[in-house]
Parts: sequence; structure tokens; C-alpha cells
Amino acid sequence: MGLVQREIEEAGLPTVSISLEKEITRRLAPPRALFVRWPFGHPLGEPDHVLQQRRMLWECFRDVRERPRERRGEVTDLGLRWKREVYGTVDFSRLDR
Amino acid sequence: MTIRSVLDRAVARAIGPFPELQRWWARKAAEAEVEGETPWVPFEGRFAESRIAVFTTGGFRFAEQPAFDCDAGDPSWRAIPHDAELAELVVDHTHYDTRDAKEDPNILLPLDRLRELVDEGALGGLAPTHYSMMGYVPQTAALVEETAPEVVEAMRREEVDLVLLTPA
Repeated sequence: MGLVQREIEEAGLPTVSISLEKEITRRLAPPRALFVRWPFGHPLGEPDHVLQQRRMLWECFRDVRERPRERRGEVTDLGLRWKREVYGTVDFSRLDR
Repeated sequence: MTIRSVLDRAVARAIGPFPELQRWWARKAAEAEVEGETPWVPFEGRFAESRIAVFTTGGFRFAEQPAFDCDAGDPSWRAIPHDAELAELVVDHTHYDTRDAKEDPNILLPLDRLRELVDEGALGGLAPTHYSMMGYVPQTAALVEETAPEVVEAMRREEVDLVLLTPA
């Protein structure tokens, strides 16, 4: 997936991805990647967990907004635990600030 | 269903609860290499005016679309329209435990969540088309030389501003 991400960005579109395998993502070094140590097949978390899914989208968009060019290709570890994290509501009206 | 896919699916389910084993298995399978600097395009727009597209390797498709080839690997992609009924999607993938993805595709293809954000005014809109692949693709040359350009062309045609990619 990192290969495709690089190609899309190369073509001129900003991209952000979630990573479930830090070493592979590091090797492919896509422009923006956020790592969570969660089971495969669950980049946005658990089924029907709306707050968790929204939080992951928030993290992705925030990264798009804030990551500086110098940190392209770095894999950011969000440090979120699997099933032991408490998710509150995220205020998306702050996205554009 | 082949013996290979039965075995892969069995391994995927068996190691599901053990993240380190999964990662070892994935690293063993992944051979892709990249050259050169990481490309970079700054996002300079406003989210509230931007059009988002999702690209996932979760193996989603509609029943009437061709199945993915999980045994040989498959560099092809399926178009998922923005107003898709997620409950109608099926999943082909033997390298992860797909039960949760079938229960709620939003954990990989968060179209319901993104539609909510559009309704709330946080995002400008969803691209008409979203992109689904099955993540086992040993054919990396075809992925880069054929799939990626097709996807890029479609995204450009649909004036996409930002792309979210989610792996299985």
C-alpha cells in the first residue's frame, strides 16, 4: 500500500495512511503514516466503535494539517492501546481552526 | 476455494490475537522496496472545502464485481461509489481475519464516518469513487506501473483533494 501512496503523492495529491506494521511502512517511507499496534484488518479500530473510528480520522486529518515537510516518510506511533483506550468526542469544527 | 486459501485463512484467524506473530508473518511476505526520496505535496486547502477519497487494501467488493485472486495475489482494484451501502460489500482476503471487517466495513473503509463529517460541515465532500484492493500483491511492478496510474487518473478526473489509505 505504501507503494501506491507514494505514487499518488508523486502525482500531486496529498495522502495520509494508517500503518499496522511499522517496519514495512518504515521501509516504504510513504509521505504521512500513523502507526497503531492493533490487529491486522482494523486500521480504524473495532467494529461499530464510532468514537474510535472518528478519533482515527481526526488523527489522520490533523497529521495532514500539521506534519512539516521535514518529517515526510517518518512513521508516527500514535501509542493507542487495543481495547484499553477511552475515546471521547472529537470536535471536528476545529479541523480548519 | 483452494487448499492454499483455506490454509492462509486458517493461519490468519489463528494468529489474529497475536499481533507480533502477525507482524512477523507480514514482514516475511513483504518484499517491496522503494528508491529515492519520499514525495511530498503540502495540503493547503480547507478540509471543509476538500474532497476526500479512500483507498483500502481490505479486499472489499460488491458481489457482482469480479472476485480478487487471494492465492496468486491480485493487483487489480474495484470501484466503490461514495453512496455505497456498506452492508452490501463482500470481502476477499485470506491474510487477515475478515470477520470484523464484514461486520463493520468502516474499520477499513470509513464511508459512513466520512459521510457524517460531510453532513457536519467538517469536510467538503466525498469523491464519487473510492478504491478497494486485496492487500496481497506480490506483483509489485503491475501495482506501480498499472494500478497506481489508473487510480491516480481516476482521482484527478474526480478532482480529489486528499487521499486516505488504509491497510488490512
